[in-house]
Amino acid sequence: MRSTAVAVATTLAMAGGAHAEDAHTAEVEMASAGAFYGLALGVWSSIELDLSARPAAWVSAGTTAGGLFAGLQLVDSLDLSVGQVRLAEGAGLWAALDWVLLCGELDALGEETAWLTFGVTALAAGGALLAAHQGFDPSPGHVSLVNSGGLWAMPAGLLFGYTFHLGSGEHLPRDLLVLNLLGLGAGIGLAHAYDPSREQVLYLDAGLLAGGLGGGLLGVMIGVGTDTEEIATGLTLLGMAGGAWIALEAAGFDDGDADRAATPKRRAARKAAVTMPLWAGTW
Amino acid sequence: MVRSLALLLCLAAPAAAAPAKAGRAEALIFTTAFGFYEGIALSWLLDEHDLLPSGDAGVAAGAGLTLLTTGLTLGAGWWVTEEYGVNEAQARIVNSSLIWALLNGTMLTSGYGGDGEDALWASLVSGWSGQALGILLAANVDRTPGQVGLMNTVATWSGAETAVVLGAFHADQSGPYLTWPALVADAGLLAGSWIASRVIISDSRARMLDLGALAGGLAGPAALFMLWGPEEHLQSWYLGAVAVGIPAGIATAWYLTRDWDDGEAPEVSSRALMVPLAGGLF
Repeated sequence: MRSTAVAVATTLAMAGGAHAEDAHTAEVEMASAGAFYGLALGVWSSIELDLSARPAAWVSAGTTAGGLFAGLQLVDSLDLSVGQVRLAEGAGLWAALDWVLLCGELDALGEETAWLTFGVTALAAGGALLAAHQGFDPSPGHVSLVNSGGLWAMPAGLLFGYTFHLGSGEHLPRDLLVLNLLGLGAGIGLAHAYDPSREQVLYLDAGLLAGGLGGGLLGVMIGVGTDTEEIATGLTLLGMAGGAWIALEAAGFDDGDADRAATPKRRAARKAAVTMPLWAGTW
Repeated sequence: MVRSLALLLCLAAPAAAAPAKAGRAEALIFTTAFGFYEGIALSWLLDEHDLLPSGDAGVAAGAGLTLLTTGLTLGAGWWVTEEYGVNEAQARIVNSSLIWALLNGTMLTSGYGGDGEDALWASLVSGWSGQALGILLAANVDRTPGQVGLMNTVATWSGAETAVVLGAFHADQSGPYLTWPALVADAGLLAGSWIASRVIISDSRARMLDLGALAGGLAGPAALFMLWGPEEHLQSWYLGAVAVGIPAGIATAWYLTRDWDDGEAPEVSSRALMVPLAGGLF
Protein backbone atom coordinates (compact mmCIF):
# COMPACT_ATOMS: atom_id res chain seq x y z
CA MET A 1 0.00 0.00 0.00
CA ARG A 2 2.79 2.32 0.99
CA SER A 3 4.67 1.49 -2.20
CA THR A 4 1.61 2.37 -4.28
CA ALA A 5 1.38 5.69 -2.51
CA VAL A 6 5.05 6.38 -3.18
CA ALA A 7 4.66 5.44 -6.83
CA VAL A 8 1.58 7.61 -7.27
CA ALA A 9 3.25 10.52 -5.46
CA THR A 10 6.31 10.23 -7.72
CA THR A 11 4.14 10.17 -10.84
CA LEU A 12 2.14 13.18 -9.65
CA ALA A 13 5.32 15.09 -8.78
CA MET A 14 6.73 14.44 -12.23
CA ALA A 15 3.44 15.52 -13.87
CA GLY A 16 3.45 18.67 -11.74
CA GLY A 17 7.03 19.40 -12.77
CA ALA A 18 6.17 18.88 -16.42
CA HIS A 19 3.22 21.24 -16.13
CA ALA A 20 5.36 23.92 -14.45
CA GLU A 21 7.94 23.62 -17.22
CA ASP A 22 5.15 23.82 -19.81
CA ALA A 23 3.84 27.01 -18.20
CA HIS A 24 7.31 28.56 -18.01
CA THR A 25 8.03 27.71 -21.62
CA ALA A 26 4.74 29.37 -22.55
CA GLU A 27 5.76 32.46 -20.57
CA VAL A 28 9.17 32.72 -22.21
CA GLU A 29 7.83 32.28 -25.71
CA MET A 30 4.97 34.73 -25.25
CA ALA A 31 7.21 37.31 -23.57
CA SER A 32 9.76 37.02 -26.39
CA ALA A 33 7.06 37.33 -29.05
CA GLY A 34 5.54 40.33 -27.26
CA ALA A 35 8.92 42.05 -26.88
CA PHE A 36 9.88 41.57 -30.53
CA TYR A 37 6.48 42.75 -31.70
CA GLY A 38 6.73 45.80 -29.40
CA LEU A 39 10.27 46.59 -30.57
CA ALA A 40 9.33 46.34 -34.25
CA LEU A 41 6.24 48.47 -33.68
CA GLY A 42 8.22 51.08 -31.73
CA VAL A 43 11.01 51.35 -34.30
CA TRP A 44 8.57 51.49 -37.21
CA SER A 45 6.39 54.07 -35.47
CA SER A 46 9.43 56.23 -34.73
CA ILE A 47 10.55 56.15 -38.34
CA GLU A 48 7.09 56.80 -39.72
CA LEU A 49 6.29 59.58 -37.27
CA ASP A 50 9.68 61.11 -37.99
CA LEU A 51 10.55 61.21 -34.32
CA SER A 52 13.93 62.47 -33.23
CA ALA A 53 16.16 60.04 -31.38
CA ARG A 54 15.14 60.84 -27.82
CA PRO A 55 11.36 60.40 -28.18
CA ALA A 56 12.00 57.46 -30.49
CA ALA A 57 13.92 55.80 -27.68
CA TRP A 58 11.04 56.46 -25.29
CA VAL A 59 8.47 55.08 -27.72
CA SER A 60 10.50 51.98 -28.62
CA ALA A 61 11.42 51.23 -25.02
CA GLY A 62 7.78 51.65 -24.01
CA THR A 63 6.38 49.40 -26.71
CA THR A 64 9.07 46.75 -26.12
CA ALA A 65 8.55 46.68 -22.38
CA GLY A 66 4.78 46.79 -22.92
CA GLY A 67 4.91 43.86 -25.31
CA LEU A 68 7.07 41.84 -22.94
CA PHE A 69 4.86 42.41 -19.91
CA ALA A 70 1.66 41.97 -21.92
CA GLY A 71 2.98 38.59 -23.06
CA LEU A 72 3.73 37.51 -19.51
CA GLN A 73 0.38 38.77 -18.25
CA LEU A 74 -1.56 37.02 -21.01
CA VAL A 75 0.04 33.66 -20.23
CA ASP A 76 -0.64 34.07 -16.53
CA SER A 77 -4.18 35.37 -16.75
CA LEU A 78 -5.34 32.97 -19.49
CA ASP A 79 -3.31 30.00 -18.20
CA LEU A 80 -1.98 29.48 -21.72
CA SER A 81 -0.25 26.27 -22.74
CA VAL A 82 2.76 26.10 -25.06
CA GLY A 83 0.50 24.97 -27.88
CA GLN A 84 -1.80 27.95 -27.40
CA VAL A 85 1.11 30.39 -27.36
CA ARG A 86 2.58 28.88 -30.52
CA LEU A 87 -0.85 28.99 -32.11
CA ALA A 88 -1.00 32.75 -31.44
CA GLU A 89 2.54 33.27 -32.72
CA GLY A 90 1.87 31.23 -35.85
CA ALA A 91 -1.43 32.98 -36.50
CA GLY A 92 0.28 36.38 -36.22
CA LEU A 93 3.20 35.47 -38.45
CA TRP A 94 1.17 33.76 -41.17
CA ALA A 95 -1.40 36.55 -41.17
CA ALA A 96 1.39 39.13 -41.57
CA LEU A 97 2.97 37.17 -44.43
CA ASP A 98 -0.36 36.65 -46.19
CA TRP A 99 -1.25 40.31 -45.77
CA VAL A 100 2.06 41.39 -47.31
CA LEU A 101 1.55 38.92 -50.17
CA LEU A 102 -1.97 40.24 -50.74
CA CYS A 103 -0.71 43.81 -50.81
CA GLY A 104 2.09 42.77 -53.15
CA GLU A 105 -0.38 41.17 -55.54
CA LEU A 106 -2.54 44.30 -55.50
CA ASP A 107 0.49 46.58 -55.92
CA ALA A 108 -0.47 48.19 -52.65
CA LEU A 109 2.74 47.80 -50.66
CA GLY A 110 3.37 51.11 -48.96
CA GLU A 111 3.50 52.93 -45.66
CA GLU A 112 -0.19 52.52 -44.90
CA THR A 113 -0.17 48.79 -45.56
CA ALA A 114 2.95 48.44 -43.42
CA TRP A 115 1.06 50.06 -40.55
CA LEU A 116 -1.81 47.71 -41.18
CA THR A 117 0.54 44.72 -41.08
CA PHE A 118 1.05 45.36 -37.38
CA GLY A 119 -2.71 45.53 -36.95
CA VAL A 120 -3.32 42.34 -38.92
CA THR A 121 -0.65 40.51 -36.90
CA ALA A 122 -2.15 41.64 -33.60
CA LEU A 123 -5.68 40.82 -34.79
CA ALA A 124 -4.76 37.29 -35.87
CA ALA A 125 -2.78 36.60 -32.70
CA GLY A 126 -5.65 38.08 -30.66
CA GLY A 127 -8.14 35.83 -32.45
CA ALA A 128 -6.01 32.80 -31.62
CA LEU A 129 -5.83 33.90 -27.98
CA LEU A 130 -9.59 34.35 -27.92
CA ALA A 131 -9.99 30.81 -29.23
CA ALA A 132 -7.56 29.66 -26.54
CA HIS A 133 -9.62 31.48 -23.94
CA GLN A 134 -12.67 29.60 -25.22
CA GLY A 135 -10.91 26.31 -24.53
CA PHE A 136 -9.18 25.59 -27.83
CA ASP A 137 -5.93 23.96 -26.81
CA PRO A 138 -3.91 22.39 -29.60
CA SER A 139 -0.85 20.37 -28.72
CA PRO A 140 2.59 21.65 -29.82
CA GLY A 141 2.52 18.83 -32.37
CA HIS A 142 -0.73 20.10 -33.88
CA VAL A 143 0.57 23.65 -34.20
CA SER A 144 3.84 22.41 -35.61
CA LEU A 145 1.96 20.38 -38.22
CA VAL A 146 -0.14 23.37 -39.31
CA ASN A 147 2.97 25.58 -39.54
CA SER A 148 4.81 22.91 -41.52
CA GLY A 149 1.87 22.67 -43.89
CA GLY A 150 1.93 26.42 -44.48
CA LEU A 151 5.69 26.43 -44.97
CA TRP A 152 6.19 23.41 -47.23
CA ALA A 153 3.15 24.03 -49.41
CA MET A 154 4.80 27.13 -50.89
CA PRO A 155 7.97 25.56 -52.34
CA ALA A 156 6.12 22.36 -53.21
CA GLY A 157 3.40 24.26 -55.06
CA LEU A 158 5.86 26.45 -56.93
CA LEU A 159 7.87 23.39 -57.96
CA PHE A 160 4.68 21.68 -59.11
CA GLY A 161 3.63 24.73 -61.11
CA TYR A 162 7.04 25.03 -62.73
CA THR A 163 7.25 21.33 -63.57
CA PHE A 164 3.83 21.23 -65.21
CA HIS A 165 3.93 24.75 -66.71
CA LEU A 166 1.00 26.07 -64.70
CA GLY A 167 0.92 29.84 -64.95
CA SER A 168 3.50 32.30 -66.13
CA GLY A 169 4.90 33.26 -62.74
CA GLU A 170 3.67 36.85 -63.13
CA HIS A 171 1.45 36.55 -60.06
CA LEU A 172 3.98 35.12 -57.66
CA PRO A 173 2.54 36.84 -54.53
CA ARG A 174 -0.94 35.54 -55.35
CA ASP A 175 0.38 32.03 -55.97
CA LEU A 176 2.34 32.05 -52.72
CA LEU A 177 -0.69 33.37 -50.84
CA VAL A 178 -2.97 30.65 -52.20
CA LEU A 179 -0.36 27.94 -51.59
CA ASN A 180 0.23 29.13 -48.06
CA LEU A 181 -3.48 29.13 -47.28
CA LEU A 182 -3.90 25.70 -48.85
CA GLY A 183 -0.97 24.38 -46.81
CA LEU A 184 -2.32 25.83 -43.59
CA GLY A 185 -5.75 24.40 -44.38
CA ALA A 186 -4.28 20.98 -45.12
CA GLY A 187 -2.31 21.19 -41.88
CA ILE A 188 -5.48 22.00 -39.92
CA GLY A 189 -7.29 19.12 -41.59
CA LEU A 190 -4.47 16.68 -40.85
CA ALA A 191 -4.24 17.94 -37.27
CA HIS A 192 -7.90 17.05 -36.85
CA ALA A 193 -7.39 13.59 -38.29
CA TYR A 194 -4.11 12.72 -36.55
CA ASP A 195 -2.43 13.54 -33.29
CA PRO A 196 1.27 13.81 -34.07
CA SER A 197 3.88 14.88 -31.54
CA ARG A 198 6.16 17.80 -32.35
CA GLU A 199 8.98 15.31 -32.71
CA GLN A 200 7.05 13.41 -35.37
CA VAL A 201 6.38 16.63 -37.29
CA LEU A 202 10.11 17.42 -37.09
CA TYR A 203 10.74 13.98 -38.62
CA LEU A 204 8.37 14.93 -41.40
CA ASP A 205 10.26 18.21 -41.92
CA ALA A 206 13.57 16.33 -41.97
CA GLY A 207 12.15 13.90 -44.54
CA LEU A 208 10.86 16.68 -46.76
CA LEU A 209 14.17 18.55 -46.54
CA ALA A 210 16.41 15.56 -47.15
CA GLY A 211 14.15 14.11 -49.85
CA GLY A 212 13.84 17.45 -51.62
CA LEU A 213 17.59 18.04 -51.59
CA GLY A 214 18.31 14.49 -52.74
CA GLY A 215 15.73 14.57 -55.52
CA GLY A 216 16.80 18.01 -56.67
CA LEU A 217 20.49 17.10 -56.83
CA LEU A 218 19.70 13.90 -58.70
CA GLY A 219 17.54 15.94 -61.07
CA VAL A 220 20.39 18.38 -61.70
CA MET A 221 22.75 15.49 -62.45
CA ILE A 222 20.34 13.92 -64.91
CA GLY A 223 18.86 17.04 -66.45
CA VAL A 224 21.84 19.38 -66.77
CA GLY A 225 22.87 17.99 -70.13
CA THR A 226 19.38 18.15 -71.57
CA ASP A 227 18.61 21.72 -70.52
CA THR A 228 15.29 20.64 -69.05
CA GLU A 229 14.93 22.13 -65.61
CA GLU A 230 11.64 20.34 -65.18
CA ILE A 231 13.55 17.13 -64.47
CA ALA A 232 15.21 18.77 -61.46
CA THR A 233 12.01 20.37 -60.17
CA GLY A 234 9.97 17.22 -60.73
CA LEU A 235 12.51 15.01 -59.00
CA THR A 236 12.69 17.50 -56.12
CA LEU A 237 8.95 17.06 -55.68
CA LEU A 238 9.22 13.30 -55.90
CA GLY A 239 12.08 13.38 -53.40
CA MET A 240 10.02 15.46 -50.99
CA ALA A 241 7.13 13.04 -51.27
CA GLY A 242 9.45 10.07 -50.79
CA GLY A 243 11.21 11.69 -47.85
CA ALA A 244 7.89 12.46 -46.19
CA TRP A 245 6.71 8.90 -46.70
CA ILE A 246 9.90 7.41 -45.25
CA ALA A 247 9.66 9.79 -42.26
CA LEU A 248 6.05 8.80 -41.61
CA GLU A 249 6.92 5.11 -41.89
CA ALA A 250 9.87 5.49 -39.54
CA ALA A 251 8.40 7.74 -36.89
CA GLY A 252 4.65 7.23 -37.09
CA PHE A 253 2.18 10.07 -36.76
CA ASP A 254 0.06 9.54 -33.69
CA ASP A 255 1.96 10.14 -30.46
CA GLY A 256 0.65 13.62 -29.74
CA ASP A 257 -0.48 12.96 -26.22
CA ALA A 258 3.11 12.29 -25.29
CA ASP A 259 4.07 15.94 -25.61
CA ARG A 260 1.19 17.38 -23.64
CA ALA A 261 1.53 18.53 -20.09
CA ALA A 262 -1.89 19.88 -19.24
CA THR A 263 -3.72 20.68 -16.06
CA PRO A 264 -6.97 18.80 -15.46
CA LYS A 265 -8.87 22.05 -16.09
CA ARG A 266 -7.16 22.58 -19.41
CA ARG A 267 -7.57 18.94 -20.37
CA ALA A 268 -11.32 19.21 -19.79
CA ALA A 269 -11.46 22.40 -21.83
CA ARG A 270 -9.54 20.76 -24.66
CA LYS A 271 -11.89 17.81 -24.65
CA ALA A 272 -14.79 20.21 -25.10
CA ALA A 273 -12.96 22.18 -27.75
CA VAL A 274 -12.09 19.27 -30.02
CA THR A 275 -15.70 18.23 -30.16
CA MET A 276 -16.61 21.61 -31.64
CA PRO A 277 -17.06 21.70 -35.39
CA LEU A 278 -14.00 23.22 -37.05
CA TRP A 279 -15.67 26.10 -38.85
CA ALA A 280 -19.03 26.45 -37.17
CA GLY A 281 -17.68 26.66 -33.65
CA THR A 282 -15.31 29.03 -31.96
CA TRP A 283 -12.51 27.83 -34.17
CA MET B 1 -0.45 -6.07 -1.91
CA VAL B 2 0.84 -8.12 -4.81
CA ARG B 3 -0.59 -5.61 -7.28
CA SER B 4 1.01 -2.66 -5.53
CA LEU B 5 4.34 -4.52 -5.41
CA ALA B 6 4.07 -5.22 -9.13
CA LEU B 7 3.30 -1.55 -9.81
CA LEU B 8 6.32 -0.47 -7.80
CA LEU B 9 8.52 -2.98 -9.58
CA CYS B 10 7.31 -1.67 -12.91
CA LEU B 11 8.17 1.87 -11.89
CA ALA B 12 11.47 0.93 -10.35
CA ALA B 13 12.56 -1.32 -13.20
CA PRO B 14 15.36 0.01 -15.38
CA ALA B 15 14.33 1.69 -18.63
CA ALA B 16 13.60 -0.60 -21.54
CA ALA B 17 16.49 -1.45 -23.81
CA ALA B 18 15.23 0.69 -26.70
CA PRO B 19 17.44 3.79 -26.90
CA ALA B 20 15.88 7.23 -26.44
CA LYS B 21 15.34 9.09 -29.70
CA ALA B 22 13.65 12.32 -28.67
CA GLY B 23 16.34 14.45 -30.31
CA ARG B 24 16.72 12.38 -33.45
CA ALA B 25 14.75 14.54 -35.89
CA GLU B 26 16.50 17.70 -34.73
CA ALA B 27 19.89 16.03 -35.10
CA LEU B 28 19.04 14.74 -38.58
CA ILE B 29 17.92 18.16 -39.84
CA PHE B 30 21.25 19.73 -38.84
CA THR B 31 23.23 16.79 -40.18
CA THR B 32 21.46 16.92 -43.53
CA ALA B 33 21.92 20.68 -43.86
CA PHE B 34 25.64 20.46 -43.05
CA GLY B 35 26.10 17.53 -45.43
CA PHE B 36 24.54 19.61 -48.20
CA TYR B 37 26.83 22.52 -47.33
CA GLU B 38 29.86 20.21 -47.39
CA GLY B 39 29.03 19.14 -50.92
CA ILE B 40 28.54 22.68 -52.20
CA ALA B 41 31.75 23.91 -50.52
CA LEU B 42 33.84 20.96 -51.73
CA SER B 43 32.51 21.35 -55.27
CA TRP B 44 33.43 25.04 -55.24
CA LEU B 45 36.90 24.29 -53.91
CA LEU B 46 37.49 21.53 -56.47
CA ASP B 47 36.32 23.84 -59.22
CA GLU B 48 38.72 26.56 -58.02
CA HIS B 49 41.60 24.14 -58.53
CA ASP B 50 40.26 22.93 -61.89
CA LEU B 51 39.61 19.48 -60.50
CA LEU B 52 36.06 19.38 -61.81
CA PRO B 53 35.27 19.11 -65.53
CA SER B 54 34.04 22.30 -67.13
CA GLY B 55 30.52 23.01 -68.34
CA ASP B 56 27.53 20.72 -67.80
CA ALA B 57 29.70 17.81 -66.77
CA GLY B 58 31.13 19.91 -63.95
CA VAL B 59 27.66 20.88 -62.76
CA ALA B 60 26.61 17.24 -62.81
CA ALA B 61 29.76 16.22 -60.94
CA GLY B 62 29.22 18.93 -58.32
CA ALA B 63 25.60 17.84 -57.89
CA GLY B 64 26.73 14.23 -57.60
CA LEU B 65 29.33 15.10 -54.98
CA THR B 66 26.78 17.11 -53.00
CA LEU B 67 24.29 14.27 -53.25
CA LEU B 68 26.99 11.94 -51.96
CA THR B 69 27.96 14.11 -48.97
CA THR B 70 24.31 14.82 -48.09
CA GLY B 71 23.38 11.16 -48.38
CA LEU B 72 26.41 9.95 -46.44
CA THR B 73 25.98 12.37 -43.55
CA LEU B 74 22.25 11.69 -43.38
CA GLY B 75 22.84 7.95 -43.57
CA ALA B 76 25.54 8.05 -40.90
CA GLY B 77 23.37 10.22 -38.65
CA TRP B 78 20.40 7.90 -39.19
CA TRP B 79 22.42 4.78 -38.41
CA VAL B 80 24.13 6.16 -35.32
CA THR B 81 20.93 7.56 -33.83
CA GLU B 82 19.04 4.35 -34.62
CA GLU B 83 21.71 2.20 -33.07
CA TYR B 84 22.57 4.22 -29.99
CA GLY B 85 19.71 6.69 -29.63
CA VAL B 86 19.91 10.40 -29.05
CA ASN B 87 17.96 12.40 -26.54
CA GLU B 88 17.10 16.09 -26.84
CA ALA B 89 20.08 17.31 -24.82
CA GLN B 90 22.52 15.20 -26.81
CA ALA B 91 21.14 16.50 -30.10
CA ARG B 92 21.54 20.03 -28.80
CA ILE B 93 25.11 19.39 -27.68
CA VAL B 94 26.08 18.13 -31.15
CA ASN B 95 24.21 20.92 -32.95
CA SER B 96 25.58 23.63 -30.65
CA SER B 97 29.08 22.30 -31.02
CA LEU B 98 28.72 22.40 -34.81
CA ILE B 99 27.39 25.96 -34.82
CA TRP B 100 30.05 27.25 -32.40
CA ALA B 101 32.81 25.59 -34.38
CA LEU B 102 31.52 27.09 -37.64
CA LEU B 103 31.31 30.51 -36.01
CA ASN B 104 34.85 30.18 -34.67
CA GLY B 105 36.20 29.10 -38.03
CA THR B 106 34.53 31.99 -39.83
CA MET B 107 35.51 34.64 -37.28
CA LEU B 108 39.10 33.51 -36.95
CA THR B 109 39.52 33.35 -40.73
CA SER B 110 38.04 36.79 -41.29
CA GLY B 111 40.05 38.09 -38.33
CA TYR B 112 43.28 37.13 -40.03
CA GLY B 113 42.31 38.39 -43.44
CA GLY B 114 41.68 35.06 -45.11
CA ASP B 115 40.07 35.00 -48.56
CA GLY B 116 36.96 33.13 -49.67
CA GLU B 117 38.80 29.86 -50.18
CA ASP B 118 40.36 30.05 -46.72
CA ALA B 119 36.93 30.76 -45.25
CA LEU B 120 35.45 27.70 -46.98
CA TRP B 121 38.24 25.41 -45.78
CA ALA B 122 37.96 26.87 -42.30
CA SER B 123 34.20 26.31 -42.24
CA LEU B 124 34.59 22.70 -43.39
CA VAL B 125 37.40 21.82 -40.99
CA SER B 126 35.76 23.60 -38.07
CA GLY B 127 32.40 22.00 -38.90
CA TRP B 128 33.89 18.50 -38.92
CA SER B 129 35.81 19.16 -35.72
CA GLY B 130 32.73 20.65 -34.08
CA GLN B 131 30.57 17.65 -34.98
CA ALA B 132 33.20 15.18 -33.79
CA LEU B 133 33.68 17.04 -30.52
CA GLY B 134 29.93 17.30 -30.04
CA ILE B 135 29.46 13.58 -30.57
CA LEU B 136 32.22 12.78 -28.08
CA LEU B 137 30.70 15.14 -25.52
CA ALA B 138 27.17 13.86 -26.09
CA ALA B 139 28.33 10.31 -25.64
CA ASN B 140 30.13 10.91 -22.41
CA VAL B 141 28.51 13.83 -20.62
CA ASP B 142 25.00 13.52 -19.24
CA ARG B 143 23.26 16.89 -19.42
CA THR B 144 19.71 18.22 -19.60
CA PRO B 145 18.42 20.56 -22.35
CA GLY B 146 18.38 23.36 -19.76
CA GLN B 147 22.03 22.81 -18.90
CA VAL B 148 22.99 22.91 -22.58
CA GLY B 149 20.91 26.08 -22.90
CA LEU B 150 22.75 27.65 -19.95
CA MET B 151 26.10 26.77 -21.51
CA ASN B 152 25.06 28.46 -24.76
CA THR B 153 23.71 31.47 -22.87
CA VAL B 154 27.00 32.04 -21.06
CA ALA B 155 28.99 31.65 -24.28
CA THR B 156 26.74 33.86 -26.41
CA TRP B 157 26.58 36.75 -24.02
CA SER B 158 30.21 36.65 -22.97
CA GLY B 159 31.15 36.93 -26.66
CA ALA B 160 28.65 39.74 -27.20
CA GLU B 161 29.86 41.50 -24.06
CA THR B 162 33.45 41.37 -25.30
CA ALA B 163 32.50 42.82 -28.68
CA VAL B 164 30.64 45.68 -27.02
CA VAL B 165 33.38 46.43 -24.49
CA LEU B 166 36.00 46.47 -27.25
CA GLY B 167 33.77 48.85 -29.20
CA ALA B 168 33.31 51.09 -26.16
CA PHE B 169 37.07 51.38 -25.75
CA HIS B 170 37.54 52.25 -29.41
CA ALA B 171 39.33 49.06 -30.30
CA ASP B 172 40.56 48.85 -33.86
CA GLN B 173 37.50 47.41 -35.62
CA SER B 174 39.42 45.79 -38.44
CA GLY B 175 41.35 42.55 -38.72
CA PRO B 176 41.44 40.50 -35.56
CA TYR B 177 38.70 42.56 -33.85
CA LEU B 178 36.31 39.63 -34.24
CA THR B 179 38.85 37.16 -32.93
CA TRP B 180 38.54 38.26 -29.32
CA PRO B 181 34.76 37.86 -29.03
CA ALA B 182 35.10 34.41 -30.60
CA LEU B 183 37.83 33.39 -28.17
CA VAL B 184 35.97 34.79 -25.17
CA ALA B 185 32.82 32.99 -26.32
CA ASP B 186 34.87 29.78 -26.37
CA ALA B 187 36.01 30.49 -22.83
CA GLY B 188 32.34 31.17 -22.07
CA LEU B 189 31.47 27.73 -23.43
CA LEU B 190 33.91 26.13 -21.01
CA ALA B 191 32.76 28.31 -18.13
CA GLY B 192 29.12 27.68 -19.06
CA SER B 193 29.70 23.93 -19.15
CA TRP B 194 31.29 24.10 -15.72
CA ILE B 195 28.44 26.19 -14.28
CA ALA B 196 25.85 24.00 -15.97
CA SER B 197 27.38 20.89 -14.42
CA ARG B 198 26.70 22.35 -10.99
CA VAL B 199 23.11 23.55 -11.34
CA ILE B 200 19.84 21.96 -12.36
CA ILE B 201 18.17 24.50 -14.62
CA SER B 202 15.14 24.16 -16.83
CA ASP B 203 15.25 24.96 -20.53
CA SER B 204 12.63 27.70 -20.10
CA ARG B 205 14.71 29.42 -17.43
CA ALA B 206 17.82 29.36 -19.63
CA ARG B 207 15.77 30.94 -22.42
CA MET B 208 14.46 33.57 -20.03
CA LEU B 209 18.09 34.49 -19.25
CA ASP B 210 18.64 35.06 -22.97
CA LEU B 211 15.57 37.27 -23.13
CA GLY B 212 16.81 39.17 -20.07
CA ALA B 213 20.22 39.74 -21.67
CA LEU B 214 18.62 40.96 -24.88
CA ALA B 215 16.22 43.25 -23.06
CA GLY B 216 19.00 44.58 -20.83
CA GLY B 217 21.29 45.16 -23.80
CA LEU B 218 18.58 47.23 -25.46
CA ALA B 219 17.36 48.99 -22.34
CA GLY B 220 20.83 50.27 -21.40
CA PRO B 221 21.47 52.47 -24.44
CA ALA B 222 17.75 53.30 -24.70
CA ALA B 223 17.93 54.79 -21.19
CA LEU B 224 20.89 56.97 -22.17
CA PHE B 225 19.11 58.02 -25.37
CA MET B 226 16.10 59.05 -23.31
CA LEU B 227 18.29 61.15 -21.06
CA TRP B 228 20.76 62.67 -23.48
CA GLY B 229 19.56 62.02 -27.02
CA PRO B 230 21.99 61.07 -29.76
CA GLU B 231 25.40 62.61 -29.32
CA GLU B 232 28.20 61.34 -31.48
CA HIS B 233 30.85 61.88 -28.83
CA LEU B 234 28.82 59.71 -26.45
CA GLN B 235 29.04 56.61 -28.63
CA SER B 236 31.32 54.89 -26.14
CA TRP B 237 28.80 55.57 -23.40
CA TYR B 238 26.02 53.96 -25.40
CA LEU B 239 28.15 50.86 -25.97
CA GLY B 240 29.10 50.93 -22.30
CA ALA B 241 25.41 51.00 -21.45
CA VAL B 242 24.90 47.87 -23.57
CA ALA B 243 27.82 46.26 -21.72
CA VAL B 244 26.20 47.08 -18.38
CA GLY B 245 22.69 46.21 -19.58
CA ILE B 246 23.51 42.64 -20.66
CA PRO B 247 24.71 41.31 -17.28
CA ALA B 248 22.08 43.41 -15.51
CA GLY B 249 19.39 41.82 -17.69
CA ILE B 250 20.74 38.32 -17.02
CA ALA B 251 20.90 39.00 -13.28
CA THR B 252 17.35 40.39 -13.27
CA ALA B 253 16.01 37.43 -15.21
CA TRP B 254 17.89 35.03 -12.91
CA TYR B 255 16.37 36.71 -9.86
CA LEU B 256 12.83 36.89 -11.26
CA THR B 257 12.88 33.22 -12.23
CA ARG B 258 14.56 32.04 -9.02
CA ASP B 259 11.67 29.72 -8.12
CA TRP B 260 11.19 28.27 -11.60
CA ASP B 261 13.16 25.13 -10.94
CA ASP B 262 11.83 24.51 -7.44
CA GLY B 263 10.03 21.26 -6.88
CA GLU B 264 10.47 20.03 -10.42
CA ALA B 265 11.67 16.59 -11.24
CA PRO B 266 15.18 17.17 -12.61
CA GLU B 267 15.27 16.81 -16.38
CA VAL B 268 18.16 14.39 -16.23
CA SER B 269 18.51 12.80 -19.60
CA SER B 270 18.28 9.08 -19.97
CA ARG B 271 21.94 8.79 -20.89
CA ALA B 272 21.24 7.20 -24.21
CA LEU B 273 24.78 6.88 -25.41
CA MET B 274 25.01 8.14 -28.94
CA VAL B 275 28.42 6.61 -29.55
CA PRO B 276 30.05 4.40 -26.95
CA LEU B 277 33.45 6.04 -26.55
CA ALA B 278 34.85 3.20 -24.49
CA GLY B 279 33.60 0.73 -27.05
CA GLY B 280 36.26 1.94 -29.44
CA LEU B 281 34.07 3.26 -32.23
CA PHE B 282 35.70 6.66 -31.85
